[in-house]
Amino acid sequence: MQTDNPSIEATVHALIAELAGVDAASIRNQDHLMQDLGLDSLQSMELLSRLSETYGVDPDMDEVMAAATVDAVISLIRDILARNMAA
Amino acid sequence: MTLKAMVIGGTGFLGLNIMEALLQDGASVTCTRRRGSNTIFARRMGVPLVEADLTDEAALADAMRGREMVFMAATPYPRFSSGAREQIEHAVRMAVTCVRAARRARVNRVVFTSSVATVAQPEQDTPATEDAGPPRPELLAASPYFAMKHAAETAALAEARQGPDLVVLNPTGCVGPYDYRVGTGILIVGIATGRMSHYVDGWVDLADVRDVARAHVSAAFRGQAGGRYILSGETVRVGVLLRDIARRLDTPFHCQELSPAEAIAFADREEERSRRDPRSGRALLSRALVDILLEGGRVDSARARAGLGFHPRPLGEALDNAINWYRRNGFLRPAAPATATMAS
Repeated sequence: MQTDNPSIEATVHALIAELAGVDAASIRNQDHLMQDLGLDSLQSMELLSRLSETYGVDPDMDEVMAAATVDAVISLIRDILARNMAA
Repeated sequence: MTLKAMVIGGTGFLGLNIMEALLQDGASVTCTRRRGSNTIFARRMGVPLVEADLTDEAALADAMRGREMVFMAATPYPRFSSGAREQIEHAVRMAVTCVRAARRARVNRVVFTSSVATVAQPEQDTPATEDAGPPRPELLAASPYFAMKHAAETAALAEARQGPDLVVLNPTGCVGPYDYRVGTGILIVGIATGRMSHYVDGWVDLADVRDVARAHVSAAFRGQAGGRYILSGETVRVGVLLRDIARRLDTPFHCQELSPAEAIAFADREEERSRRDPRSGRALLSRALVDILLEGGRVDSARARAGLGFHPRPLGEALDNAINWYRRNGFLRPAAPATATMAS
């Protein structure tokens, strides 16, 4: 599995596209998951749950709840992977 | 000897609490999941997850094979009151498929989570018991929530006449850890975040989910086959409860009380708004919650106390525990002010 930044970004975009029913190419990193992409809170949790399974990471629920934008989701996964590498 | 259990719906609120209670007892636990399940908590418990279609009898039987007890905690909850007939049929299909699969897999017993909504409220001012009969026909016709719970429980009990043993549990509203989808806990999260702008008064009974989960485990061993057990906590008026929650949260109470007719109309409009435009957010008041609050009354859990050793903790303790869980997990951040009005 590729864990470099562009690869994480592409995976996040593809998953959001699937959940929100939008074209992956139209997703911008500053988009808000709810207001701009139409994900409800449960779909946002599903997004983080599926990403955490894909990357084998274990986010806290308060981190999941706080990730409101595409950029925040990418950063969360990247940061946990970095934490795990450092541990 | 180690109990081998499977929890259907184990990635959900009650299911996670049942799994935790089973693991505390040293049981071997597996758990079904849907593709879209939030598995963060279940994976932390180290429970093997089995992807399963709950309407596929053969696949579900394969997943159950080798398990002695199955906990069916995945009965659906109507999110919107539209499309009620399809939702009821789906709930029945899931219940029947679970019992048939358990029979096929030679499971000893199924513990089936239903709801106190399947128990009629007596006309006199006495608490409802398991022997009170089904809800009245007008209620079943008017409320998808009550109809779905009644139909699923009835179908499961009928199917289980051919085996295996089935014990039905009828919990009231549960609050506590792992309510990440925010079910009955909307009464807490809604007050904390300002999203609960309106309410309807009535009786509501709440229990701590951990006590309800513990009773499920007890039912696997001590429950009577074919028996039904009400699992209730404390019954209070909704207005009193919401003010108590606001006090515990140290937040002002600004909810507007609606009449029953206003509340039904408001909830139906809210659900329609949320269905048409998911970006506008979840309904500020759901029709299922309105139905539950309007039909609520006192219930009697004497049978579960005597037969299952069910001992619900005080409501104040349950509320404080739930509030702490929501706070720790980031659910109590204030939301943007609610914009729905009665004029919409």
